[in-house]
Order: sequence, then C-alpha cells, then structure tokens
Amino acid sequence: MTAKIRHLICLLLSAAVLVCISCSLAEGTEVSTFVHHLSGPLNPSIPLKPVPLTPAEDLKPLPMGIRVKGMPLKLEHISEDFKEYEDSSIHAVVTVDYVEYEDFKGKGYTNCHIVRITVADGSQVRSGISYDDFDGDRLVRARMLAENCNAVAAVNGDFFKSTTTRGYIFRQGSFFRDKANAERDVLLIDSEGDFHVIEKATGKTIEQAMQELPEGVSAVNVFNFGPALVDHGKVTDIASSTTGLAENKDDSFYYQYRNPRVAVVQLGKLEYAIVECDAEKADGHSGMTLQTFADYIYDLFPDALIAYNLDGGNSTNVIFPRSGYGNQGLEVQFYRIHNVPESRSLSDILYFASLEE
Amino acid sequence: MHPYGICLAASILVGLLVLFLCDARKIKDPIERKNCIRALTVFAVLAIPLGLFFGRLAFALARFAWFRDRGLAWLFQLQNGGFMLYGVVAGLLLACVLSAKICRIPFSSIADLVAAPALLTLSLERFSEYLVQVGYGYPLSDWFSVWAFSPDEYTSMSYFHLKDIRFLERFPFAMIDSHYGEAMWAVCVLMGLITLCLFFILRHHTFRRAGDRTLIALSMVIASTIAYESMRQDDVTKWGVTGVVRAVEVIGAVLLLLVMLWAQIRMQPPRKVSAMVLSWIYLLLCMGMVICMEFALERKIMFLLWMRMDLCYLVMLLSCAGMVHAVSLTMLGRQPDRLN
Repeated sequence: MTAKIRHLICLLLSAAVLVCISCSLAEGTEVSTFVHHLSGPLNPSIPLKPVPLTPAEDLKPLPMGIRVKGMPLKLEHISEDFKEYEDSSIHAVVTVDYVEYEDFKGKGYTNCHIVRITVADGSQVRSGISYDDFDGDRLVRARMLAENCNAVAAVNGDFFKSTTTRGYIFRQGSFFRDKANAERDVLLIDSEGDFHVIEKATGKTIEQAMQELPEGVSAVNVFNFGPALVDHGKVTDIASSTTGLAENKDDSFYYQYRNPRVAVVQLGKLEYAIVECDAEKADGHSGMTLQTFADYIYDLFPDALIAYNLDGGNSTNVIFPRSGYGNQGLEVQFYRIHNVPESRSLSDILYFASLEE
Repeated sequence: MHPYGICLAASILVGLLVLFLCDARKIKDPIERKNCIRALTVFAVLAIPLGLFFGRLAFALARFAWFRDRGLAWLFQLQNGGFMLYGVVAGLLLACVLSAKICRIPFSSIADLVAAPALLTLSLERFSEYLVQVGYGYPLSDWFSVWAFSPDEYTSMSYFHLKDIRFLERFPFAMIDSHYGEAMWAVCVLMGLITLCLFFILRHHTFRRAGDRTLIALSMVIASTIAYESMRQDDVTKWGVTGVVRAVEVIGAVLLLLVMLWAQIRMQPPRKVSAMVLSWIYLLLCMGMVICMEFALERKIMFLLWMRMDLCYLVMLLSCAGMVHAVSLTMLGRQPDRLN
C-alpha cells in the first residue's frame, strides 16, 4: 500500500470520526418535535390563542399587600366541565394536551395542562405565602393557599422557605431577603403585570432593574427559580444558560432528566398561561427534560414574551376552582388539575385573582 | 402566660409528682430511699434549666443559618421558634450525671427512676401541643378524598375514600388550622397516646440490670420521635440544599445507633458475636424500612407506588417499634436468632 493511499484512508477515518462526534454532540441540542392532542372547552387550535375578555368599567385594582386577597369566586362563573372561569375581570381556560414528543432520549409522551388567563388589571397577578408569614417556615397544601387567596388559577412559586440561604425575596411589594447569588435567572413582575427576566441575578442587578422600570410602574413580585425558558420569541438553550447551575448539582433542577415541570408564561399585555407537564412521578424518567419543556412551550406559544420555569418535581401544583358539595352545601372548591402524585406542601404560590365584587 | 406554657409546666409537675410520690417511695431500703430522694431533688432543680437550655441550643444548632441571621438574642426569645427534644434529653441526662455526682449515688439509679416519669411528661407535652396547633399532619380532606382534577385519576393519600368526614373533624382526631380553617390530623395526640402507652410499658416492666430502663426509654423516645417527625407537616427542621431531609429523623437514627452501641458494650460476657451481629442487622433493617417508607411517601420508589400513605405510616410505626425491640433484646441479654 502506497503512502498516499494510507494517507487517504487516515483522512477518511478521521472525517468519519469527526462526523460521528458532531452527530453525538448535536443529539443533545436538537430541538424536540411534538404531536399535540388537545382537548378543552374552547375549540382547540395550534397555536393556542389568549382567551378573550370584556372587562367592566367599574373594576377597582387590588391593593398591593401580601395579606390582600382576590375577590371571592362565584359559582356561576365556573363552567359545567370545571375547565373555565369567566367574569368581567378575568377569563381562565384549562386545555389538556396529550403530547407525544421526541427528544435526545427518544420518544416520550405525557399529559400537559395549559391554563390560559386574561386579566383586566396588573394587580390581579399576585403571590401568596403560607400563613402570610415570611419568617416562619410552616408549609401548606397548594389548594389551601389558593383557596385562602381566592385564586382563579394558581401555580406553585419558588419554594423560598425551603432554604434561608439563597434567593431575593420580594412579594407583593414587601422585601424580605437578599441572598441572590448570581446563579439563577430571576423573574420580576411589575405593577402593570409585565414580566422581566434578570439573568444570573444578584441583589444589585435586581434593584437596578426595579429602578429602571418606567415611571409610575413599581416592582411587585420577584421569583427565584428559573431559568427563563422563552424570552421574546427565543427559546433558551438550557445547557448553555444553566452552566452555573449544572456545576452545582443540587441547583440544576435535574434539567437534563425527565421530570414534572411547570412554568408561567406572559403571552401579551395582561395575557398569561400556566403550562404544566405531568409525570408518573418525579424520578427523572417521566415528564420532560427542561430543554424539551422549553421547546414545548415555544411550540405552543411561539409569540410568548417570557416563559419562566418554576419549581417542578414534587412541588408541581396547578390549582383551578370547581364547584362541589362541602359542609355549607354547593361551594367553590379548589383542585389540582394534574395527576402528579401527592405533592409536598408549599410555601408560596403565584396566582391570578378576580376583581369582581 | 400562654396556655401552652401552663400545660408544659403542668406536664413537668405531674412527672415530678409521679417521680417523688410513686416511684421514689417504692425503694424499700430507707437509707437508699433517702439518698435517692435527695438526689432526685437536686435533679429536679437542675433538670428544668438544663433541659430548656440544651433543648433550645440544639434547636438553634439544627437551624444554624436561621439562627445566625437573627443573632444570639434570638436564642433566649423562648416564645419564638421552639426546642429540640434530643437537646432536652441531653439536658436531663446531664442533670442525672450531676445529681449522681453531687449525691454520690450511681448514675443509673437516678436515670432509671427518672426514665418513666420523663416519658409521662413527654406524653402530656405532646397533648399540650394541640393547644398551639403544633404537630399536625395532612388535611383530612386531602387524606380521604380524590382531589385530582379528573375523578378517573385516583391520587388520594389513603386507601379509604370517605365522603363525609365531619365526624373526624374534632378533638382528638383533628385540629382546625386557625389560619385556613382546615381540619388537619392531630398527630400530636396520636403520639401523646403512644408515648403514654410506652410510659405504662416501661413502668410495669422489670429490668434485670441497672441502666436498662434508661436505655430502653431512650430508644423509645428516639423511635417515637422519628415516626412523629415523619408524620407532622408543620414547622419541622429540614436540612439539605433542597430542604427535604428532616433533621430530627437523621439525628434520631444516629442516636439510636449510639444507644445500640452503648447497650452492646454493656452486654455481659460471654458475648455471642453472631447474636450481636443479628441485633445490628435487625436494627439496620428497621432503619432501612423507615428510610424506604420516607421515599415511598414522596413517591420516589417505583415498585412501591401502590402504597398509600396510611400503609406507609403503618409500616413506619411498626419499623420504629422494631428498632426499640432490637435494642431491648440486646438489653435483656437475649438476641434474636432469627430475623422474623
């Protein structure tokens, strides 16, 4: 064999190895594909649209404080199938999506729940904390928190009471703790109900962002979980955005494993969605990886302004009202809309309230 | 003064009354009785401040980050936070040691006398927790009902699906959360009853060697506290970055291993190595079962997904009883030849 041929074979082999390596590297970052099977009270179509709302003129915004709750819910505003709540200040609809997907781990399928919410005023986007107490660490079932807050739709927050050593805690205009460590993307919600993401936030960058809000607009809530999944029509590349998190194993939220996930999305001005993906259990094998979840949200809402990841796993809770018989007869009751098995008690929720008295 | 403070004081008083009026009087030898009563008086004086101090200190150390943020003064603000039982037990043991030294009688004589009344005090304290809404479990409505959005998705906590739970929404079964108006399982009452049973068992059982009663009482306190901490859903001390490890359970497991070690060191020769190993295996198996149930409660074990919470807790209680049994077999000088 001549030297030229040997050289050629070596070159060909090197090229083949390079192609293989490139393919295997690309496998992890490949965008997932989805097949949706939507069902819900509104005629489901892709892309899902924000639900319409015709607000009344005499609605008064809710005051800021953490002890101020939404207006009590009324039975007549709950639909017969318990998947829609509509009054003059808020319209919320639950859509179930049995989704088949393919990610770098192969084919998967799961149930996802999408709650689309439209509100009349920014003060309806609120947070609630267990026992209305920042300092204590007593936890409570999410549905009890939602009931206490008169939430039309509620999702678990960032579980800030699980640790005292991290997070910038600011809820309903009250500051509690500055332990932001530049590892997490922070979600800031202002008094207009608009979402802002501060990447790898520190106390300084959060306060700077608060100061940069337009005149007459103030910060209301700050959530410390993340990362941001979609930012103004751009899907986050989780692996690169969470480098800091990935290095700290306990803080990575198992982003590379399949798990129950939940996120809050701003679709437009005063238009939101809560997207939750079910799993048989939080074991890293069922549910979605964080990248697939980000891709899924983008697939549902390509025009989303911000989609922000909240505490998933066993903390996953999305609460919606329904009517049921209690001690006082027929009453508004609050239920988890998904089948993630018995989840843990929580310290906080993000919820959407009604203004209608 | 808070009703809980009054109840706590009353619990201590009842424990001391049983100690002095019943147990100490049973000592037949008048000189020994006199010495013991003197030592018990010293113990009573020392035990209360030492128990409170060590209980508070252990609580502060277990929540060090919390404590560090609030400063030293918080340690003495007894109305904020709480006490850790193991710290209180350490304080009582230290009081036993000091009173034994001062009165020059064996440590085990004092500790054995104190063991049963201390369990009685603990039992009454557990009942008192009902007044301050501490030591509650899951809400009853969650426990019995199907609370998934779709009725087809049965995800309740219990095997039983009760539609009308009003009968249970009262003392002694449940306490009503003053903030949310929800009926929660009164776990403190259950554990008060269990501790009361343990008190009677300990008091009416005869032990061959001095010190055995103390060691069995310690294992009973630790094992019952492990079960209690697992069941309660209120303000419990948690460790770990994600805050899911219950500190009292971890400390309890370590302490129980130490109690077992202490018991085996005290074993009289000839020591049967195989029996000792079997005792350890028995204890570790029970501990493993408790850990397994903890994960099953969090639904993190695939092949145990069929277990509802009531069955998990039943298995956990039996495993805790098994831990006490493993230690008591070593104390009594009999080791299990078989594990079943």
